[in-house]
Amino acid sequence: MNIDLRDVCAGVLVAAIGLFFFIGAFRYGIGDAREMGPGYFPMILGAGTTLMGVVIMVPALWRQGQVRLSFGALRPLAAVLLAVAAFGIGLRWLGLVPAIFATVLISALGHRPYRLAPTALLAVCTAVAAWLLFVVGLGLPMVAFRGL
Amino acid sequence: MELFTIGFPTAFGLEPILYCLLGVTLGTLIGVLPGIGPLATIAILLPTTFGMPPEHALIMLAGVYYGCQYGGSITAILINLPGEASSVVTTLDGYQMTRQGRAGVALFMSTMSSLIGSVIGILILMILSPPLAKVVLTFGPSEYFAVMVLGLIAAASISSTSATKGLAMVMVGLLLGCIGIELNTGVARFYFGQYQLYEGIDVVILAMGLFGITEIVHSIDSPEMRAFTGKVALSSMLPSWTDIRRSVGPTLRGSGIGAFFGVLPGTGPMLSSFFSYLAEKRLSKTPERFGKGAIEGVVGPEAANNAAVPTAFIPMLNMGIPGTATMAVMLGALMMHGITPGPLMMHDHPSVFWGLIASFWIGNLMLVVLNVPLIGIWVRLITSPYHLLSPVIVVLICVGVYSIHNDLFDIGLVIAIGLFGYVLRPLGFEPAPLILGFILGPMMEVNLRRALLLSNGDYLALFERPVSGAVLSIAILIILWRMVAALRGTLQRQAQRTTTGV
Repeated sequence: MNIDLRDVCAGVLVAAIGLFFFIGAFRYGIGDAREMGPGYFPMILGAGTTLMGVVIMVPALWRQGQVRLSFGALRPLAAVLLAVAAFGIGLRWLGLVPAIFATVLISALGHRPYRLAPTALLAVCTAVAAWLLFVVGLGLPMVAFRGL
Repeated sequence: MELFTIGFPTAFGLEPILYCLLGVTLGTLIGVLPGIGPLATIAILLPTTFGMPPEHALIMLAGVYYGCQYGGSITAILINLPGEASSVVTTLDGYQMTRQGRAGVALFMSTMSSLIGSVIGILILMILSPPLAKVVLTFGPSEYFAVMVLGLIAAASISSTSATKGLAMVMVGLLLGCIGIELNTGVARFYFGQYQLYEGIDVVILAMGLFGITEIVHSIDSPEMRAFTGKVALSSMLPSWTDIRRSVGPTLRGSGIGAFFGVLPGTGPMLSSFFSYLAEKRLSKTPERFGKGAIEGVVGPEAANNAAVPTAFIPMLNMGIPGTATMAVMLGALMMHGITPGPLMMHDHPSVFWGLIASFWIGNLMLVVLNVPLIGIWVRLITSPYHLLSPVIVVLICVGVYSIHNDLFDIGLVIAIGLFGYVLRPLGFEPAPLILGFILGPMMEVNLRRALLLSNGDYLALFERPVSGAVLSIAILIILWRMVAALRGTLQRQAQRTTTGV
């Protein structure tokens, strides 16, 4: 089948975002050009964005894709996003130092091969340095250890 | 001259000098290391500047931006890998010079041409700003709106490979800018039931998600870097007379090209370096030397990308309208410090304006010291183990995001934006126009509302005022030109297909 999958997906994404804002805009009162309501600007932009999405998508339905759609290795992405999430959870329940320790250990999972000993050492150093810099030095309101 | 009465007294002091040094050193560092760019770095550093006076914050953040232009060329010359997007063309002849054993000369001459490019850029910033500010003072809402439209359209169609996708990113950015309380009526829009979104998405969080997180993921994903095994001795940096004679013209031309494209929206350092390389190759009597270690191909683009940095500040400082994504984040930084750039900036905040310019002079001299006598440090850093660096950058992103509002909601938000940004690249979208649209969106809405209120709801009135009419017409011409070009490309491809019988 001759279809440029990458641009079809790209167009659908843009059109969906546009449509979401276009429909949502009607909840806020449109007004008119003389006196724009809060929904006026997002309504126009939403319509325009939806149109852009269609312009990207429609021609792509009838042509061969030049670039294969590939999202790359998901391992580094998962590692980094999980590491950020671990920071949030760790900071809430355990405090800054354990949160950073976990963040470093998890984000290093994206690399291969995984070397535990140097990573753990790096995690300890980063946690202590960050605590010294941000809490002691800059006075950010974060607790080093919580609930101990 | 305000530069001497206000600028240098602001920039000369223990603290500003230290922040300037910190900025340019960090800038060189991220320039040397491929993967993480100036925009993400400025976003990561921004929360640490909340306690500083705005002068110092701007001096440090600007230092990162121009410092990385210097640093990017080191990696480009030594290991044929662009440290920054703006040093892509430097690899062409710079690395060839390294292979010929002339790495020292290439590094020295690129530093010198960078310095000259910066100096010319700074002079143009100083000369152009006062008269431009006077013109901008006469601008009404329709002129502001028109200039923003032109900026967005130029940025979208020039900086992206596909004009349609660039425009789509601008539109998505404008829509994301609608999130939060609308300024005129106080109605909270599109806040998904989260009170944290009342004030809109923070530009720092957006930049860290779209650039910081995706850049880290991509750099982890890319293969290990080649190591540079040689050493660069100071004595090897001495250029010959031929080198100097060949470099004068390209450096000056490159500076001119960079200064010109720096002011224009959407072009910035990267495109100016491309244009400079093309110009030098075209003008050269011996174009066959290009790609084989011609010094003109190193000094021209390096002068150009450095000249484009100070001139990119011209529209941002004097109109409050950023031309590139990095300038958009810089504008966000200024606004967080309670400063709204515009034609009155020089008058209302002279110490910020002239202090920044003075710091350009100081910082560029520091960079020469960092790049010539201290080159050995950076050569060693190129081979630094990236797998130890990326977790630290992730931690910096986390702490930076959390420290803005001390709210875990922002951590979740940056994860969502990071995921969105990661999906964009394989689909052929570039996030830079999105950031620009996001920053300009609320300003455009305010100015459009005022303009239409004055014209009694008549859109055509926007074209009746001379300045806004001319600017909007240029914007429409750009769109038409890109549409014709795209259409012609499609027709040619189809013609080829029919002739080859596929």
